Amino acid sequence: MALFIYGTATNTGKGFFTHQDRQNFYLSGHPANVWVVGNNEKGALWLAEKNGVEKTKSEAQALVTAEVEAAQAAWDLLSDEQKAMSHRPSQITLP
Amino acid sequence: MASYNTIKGLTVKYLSADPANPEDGQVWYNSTTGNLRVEGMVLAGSWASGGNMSTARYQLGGAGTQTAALAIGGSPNGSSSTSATEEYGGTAWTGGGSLPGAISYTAGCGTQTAGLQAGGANIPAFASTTTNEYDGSSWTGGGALNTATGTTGQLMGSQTAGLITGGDIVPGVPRGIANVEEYNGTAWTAVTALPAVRQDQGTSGIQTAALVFGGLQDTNPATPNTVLSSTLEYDGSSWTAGGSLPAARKNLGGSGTQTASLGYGGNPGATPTNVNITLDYNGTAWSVNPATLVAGTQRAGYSTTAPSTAAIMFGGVNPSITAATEEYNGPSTQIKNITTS
Repeated sequence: MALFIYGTATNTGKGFFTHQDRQNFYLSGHPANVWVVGNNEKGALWLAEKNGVEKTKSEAQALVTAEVEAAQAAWDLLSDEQKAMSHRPSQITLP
Repeated sequence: MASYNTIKGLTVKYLSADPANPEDGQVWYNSTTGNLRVEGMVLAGSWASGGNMSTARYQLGGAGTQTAALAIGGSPNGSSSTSATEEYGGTAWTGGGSLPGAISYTAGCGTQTAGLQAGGANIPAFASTTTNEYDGSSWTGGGALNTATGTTGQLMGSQTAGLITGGDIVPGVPRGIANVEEYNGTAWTAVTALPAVRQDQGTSGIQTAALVFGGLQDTNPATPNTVLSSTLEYDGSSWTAGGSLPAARKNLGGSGTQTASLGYGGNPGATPTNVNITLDYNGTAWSVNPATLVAGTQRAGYSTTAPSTAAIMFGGVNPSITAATEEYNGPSTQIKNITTS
């Protein structure tokens, strides 16, 4: 069985993921509203309850990559002084 | 069958209600619920989602607690600043009084009804002597810093006893500064400087018992920067070395006191991915807390005023600019029923 479930869901704020959720299953959030969820019963139920759309790992990775590339493009347009105050966003590899 | 009395040499208390402050491992019988009960540690510390800010931003200041926080200024895009203040009540963010001017790369401290903002600037300017005080509804100007500074993560204490440490003066050379100043509610006074220039550090504590950890050493734009793992402790007059972070890190958050501090998020260097790691400081050494942020985030707003057992982090870069909030609750104990068969 795969370790993770991949999906998209909009973070609605308070209660979107609870302290109990964090005890029950692995959860990490990424750009483009992509979530990596521990593949157990409670994790799968959480994604379903959040109206999440399940994705394959490659689909989820493509969404994240596109979002980071957009952030990189925005950073590239900053002035040299503005760039000096931050760093170019780096790509993310999903687990 | 062995009885509890035989095993422990004690009888189980027969109570009509759970005791008010049971000790870890204490066992009793609740005659009202009809359950044999035990107090035990069952929940590790964890981060959960809080309400989203109305505007995604980073390099903002923070103040207050997990149930009464303040988000101060920041940048929504890296090329401009905002004057927006938002107030958090534990569930949702609502608009507060606007700052007198747009500001980012700034820092905050104090409470939601007695907040302090100092340093930062309105992009494309980066460092300033600006100080503003918040009374729960509006901002008024405070005493100016003696040395202009920018970059979040260096202010701690209260509106009447603030401490600002180091910072960035881009495009000045050297870019980082080591200046430290104390605020008394009216004016800033220069005090003992940091041992070396430092910016983008995590901070916690108060004016007379402060903690500075991690950060960046940028002595010259022509030379590579050094990301720091060192910790410094301030006693109100001098700086001494504390325990080092497990790894170098900058632009991380901090909450708590000098002897019970929490560090979270940040970035380990020029390009590596932001980290979601949480760290505990006990006054001597840092250790890795098993709780992780749901998203690796740096340059977020956070409150040094919040205790290490109830921290709050909002906004930041993950690497997109975010409006999200995460709330940390420390380990807790819980009363559980004992089932026997």
